[in-house]
Amino acid sequence: MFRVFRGTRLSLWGLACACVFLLGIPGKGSALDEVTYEAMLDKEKAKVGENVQYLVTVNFGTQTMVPNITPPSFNQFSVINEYQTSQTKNEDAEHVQVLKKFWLLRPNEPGKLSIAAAIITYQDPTTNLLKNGKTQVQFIQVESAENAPAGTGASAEKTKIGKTAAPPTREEIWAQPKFMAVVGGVILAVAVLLVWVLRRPRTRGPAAEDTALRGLEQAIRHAEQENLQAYYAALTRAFLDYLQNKFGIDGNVLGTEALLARMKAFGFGPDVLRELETFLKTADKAKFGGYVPHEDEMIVLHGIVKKFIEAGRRIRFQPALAKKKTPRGEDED
Amino acid sequence: MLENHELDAVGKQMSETLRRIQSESAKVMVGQPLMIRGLLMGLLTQGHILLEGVPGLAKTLAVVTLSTCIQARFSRIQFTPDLLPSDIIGTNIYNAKTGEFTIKKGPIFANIVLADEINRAAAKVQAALLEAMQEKQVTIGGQTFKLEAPFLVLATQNPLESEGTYSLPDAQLDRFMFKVRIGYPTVEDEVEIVNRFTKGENPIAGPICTPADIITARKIINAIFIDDKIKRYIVDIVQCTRFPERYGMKIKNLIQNGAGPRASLNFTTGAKGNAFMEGRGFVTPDDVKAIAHDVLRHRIIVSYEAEAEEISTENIVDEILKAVKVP
Repeated sequence: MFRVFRGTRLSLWGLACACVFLLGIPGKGSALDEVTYEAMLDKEKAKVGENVQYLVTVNFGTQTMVPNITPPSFNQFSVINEYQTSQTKNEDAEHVQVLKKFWLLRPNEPGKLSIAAAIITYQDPTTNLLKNGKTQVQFIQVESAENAPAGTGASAEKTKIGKTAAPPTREEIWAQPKFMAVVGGVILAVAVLLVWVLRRPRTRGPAAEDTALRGLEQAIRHAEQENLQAYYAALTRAFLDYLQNKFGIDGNVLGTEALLARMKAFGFGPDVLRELETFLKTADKAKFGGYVPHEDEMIVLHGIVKKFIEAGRRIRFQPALAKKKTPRGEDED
Repeated sequence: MLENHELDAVGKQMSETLRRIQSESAKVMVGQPLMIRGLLMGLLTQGHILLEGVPGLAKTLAVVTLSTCIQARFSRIQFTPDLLPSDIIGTNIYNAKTGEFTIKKGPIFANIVLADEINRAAAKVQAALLEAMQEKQVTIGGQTFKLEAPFLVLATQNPLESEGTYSLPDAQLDRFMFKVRIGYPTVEDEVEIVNRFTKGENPIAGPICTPADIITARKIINAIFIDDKIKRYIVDIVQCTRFPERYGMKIKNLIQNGAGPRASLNFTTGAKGNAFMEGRGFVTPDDVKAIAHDVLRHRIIVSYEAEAEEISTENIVDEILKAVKVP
């Protein structure tokens, strides 16, 4: 190589030195491939007015620019203090710089509070371009100061930053008479509830059928007044409420297709489902499509619903198959 | 087109044609019926679709298949960070021989445009595409060109990689009628994909109808009857995303922003499209429920609290549909 580049020996040495400088001398410079960062809170729960420490840590190589940390807006907290430290540490024979920025905060309100992401602006070690990164959003459960148990001091004065008072031991908790009284009360309440659940009547079929048939009679009144939309609405409502009361199927929140699918899954036979599909689709047409069914058709549809309800008297209510009754379903009557 | 809120012979024939398109697409596409249905809905209701799914779920194949079925022109734009607006809409080119400028139209001049990985391009490129979507016309060198109907943009986003991407702002997301989310195929479907596409000859879909038929179908859809009770139901659902407490829901803390009025409009046209595809001349609550997730998915912005509790927009929409009373 020197034969070719005669007279340029010094320049080549200079170039080699520059390369070594740029790439970093093995074992002394930093070969940190990536910048890492994280944000954390020193506790998961706190009380209003108690000190909380928010810490952002950035690890980066020694040959890149010092990153910039843009803090989030701590709008649910009061910022008491903030400070920043930077240090170099030796990790696996490589120099790594650590930048730490602390904020000492006090929550202003109770509830689940969040601290948005801090923005880290850093130089990418591989491309040397500036990049932005975001830390993770942090959450903290804050209780009101009044909820603090007696003797613990519901303020930050008794709690050192980053450390909380030692919790009472199990023996201490059990020794408290109040605690024993509460445990006894809970056991008694559970026992009473269990007895009530086991002894309550399991069948409520007749009531459901009677209510539904009354609903059908009320629907006929709308038909007599020639208010067909109201008639079909009332007929459908009576049918859906019956499904809810008898089988726990909340038809009021299901559409026609979903309702039929649910009834199929419930175990209703194909003949019953076919008839109900005719009823529900015609009712949809009458309610939403401006369709006026013939009188004979109305009688048939009314008959389908009545037959279904009366057949229900022979079916024993199966609580295990029923879904939980929603408050909305009960309100609709 | 409609007689007493029922589809007439032409309407029924068109509805049947759409079903044939779906079955023809199924010859090529394995699984993913929601994607094909979403694309057809977009075509019929003049909306645009945002498709979210990981790579390799046959998004391009779906668009090519649909274009073949309706004999429409198709183009695909791969969005990259160095893409320019003129790469999409076209540009004025100077011809040195004639000494004149000639207009070179971009790939947006097609019936179906696949904007692949839309979030990889810079904001100005996204804005150029979204403007063309909204206005259905583009201006090149001071000359305005109407985009040929039917015009559908299918934009895709990869949910996994966010490095080096420019997320679409919420206001621009709102311009998409539906956000369709597609997942991995089932085991059976994937075995069928392997069987179908490793024989050396890939299956091809045949033509079923023409773009003119789609425009006819659009006229029928516009005439589909929607009762005031259904309109009220739609508005209640959209309002519930903004003021859930008015509907007895305690999820206000989970929603940062609710859906805007454009959601109500898209709900209405989408529900009409769904009714048409079901062969009905009127809209039922089932039609509204069928499209609720696709309409609201990208319009409800969940709060940090919801994210922390791993509650998605899907869960919120489910709860809203349970809470809002069906007429």
